[in-house]
Amino acid sequence: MVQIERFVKISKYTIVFTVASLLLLNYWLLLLMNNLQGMIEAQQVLVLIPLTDVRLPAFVHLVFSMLLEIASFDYFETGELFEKVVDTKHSEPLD
Amino acid sequence: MGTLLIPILLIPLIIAIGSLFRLCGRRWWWCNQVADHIESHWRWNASLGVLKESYGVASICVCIGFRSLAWDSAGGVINSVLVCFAPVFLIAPVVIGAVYMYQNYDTLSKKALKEKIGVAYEDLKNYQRIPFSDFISYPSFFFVRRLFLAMTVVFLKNHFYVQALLLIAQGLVATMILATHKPHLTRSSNYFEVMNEVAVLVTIYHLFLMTDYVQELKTKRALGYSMVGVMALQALICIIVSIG
Repeated sequence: MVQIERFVKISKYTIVFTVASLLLLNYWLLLLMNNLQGMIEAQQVLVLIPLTDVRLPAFVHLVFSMLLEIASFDYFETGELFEKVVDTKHSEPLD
Repeated sequence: MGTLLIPILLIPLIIAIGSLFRLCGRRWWWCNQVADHIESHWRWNASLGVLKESYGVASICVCIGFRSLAWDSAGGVINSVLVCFAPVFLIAPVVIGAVYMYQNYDTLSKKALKEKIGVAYEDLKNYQRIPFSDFISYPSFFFVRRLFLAMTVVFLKNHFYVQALLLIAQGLVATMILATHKPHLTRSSNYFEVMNEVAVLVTIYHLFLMTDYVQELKTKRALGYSMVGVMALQALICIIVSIG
């Protein structure tokens, strides 16, 4: 009987601990995502700078190209996938 | 933009799956529950989230399309007609979103609406306590700013000083709105947003010194390092505070 009570008690604490940890983790992840989203939103504005009529040093362009990958969510190589899905043919550029 | 195209292509699929489950719901009751879940959690939230994140890139694409209008070939005509209709898709969601939120202002805090379109105002302050104009100004400004940024960068390509002044003006307005309205839910979020805007402003200020105003290449190189440093510092602070 005592063993069963102890088992129930341990189970109860385990469940409470798990739920509390998950809630904390959820809150932390939400906070993390909000802050990172803010960072990406700022970077979406920053990546427009190379489009201005100013000659930036080459290494700044390199950094901007890396930023562009983060800001435009280019985390995976999707070119081939879309060529297969949309079945487009390359044409001459308009401009 | 490439990775964002995956959810863009998935949204019609999600809507189709929801409709399929709704049809099956006539026979099996649990299918109705799945359809309800898809409609309440995925249909609008997923679309709005993708729209929010890809708005800047979409605005740039539309502005570049306007710069390269061509009516002399069949392909050019199709492209130009599509581009002429594109602003409707850029402006309509902002107007419809503002009107919808205005009509449902009292129920924005309700769980059902939060699950449906919560992504449009998820990190914003308790909308019941501030005037509606304050609440609506920030989400609308988010989109309007990106549209103006794209227009400034693309249409004023050969007028650097007007371009830079407009970029600074937009940054200052954004900082002022954030500092005075404090639209975000927590104090730290507000500070973060102000910090991000200040970092953007400081980076834009560097542009003036990249012109012929500064002649020495050595100085320009040092300014380039400073520019990269500001951006790296901003990213580093965001990451460190997010993790800690």
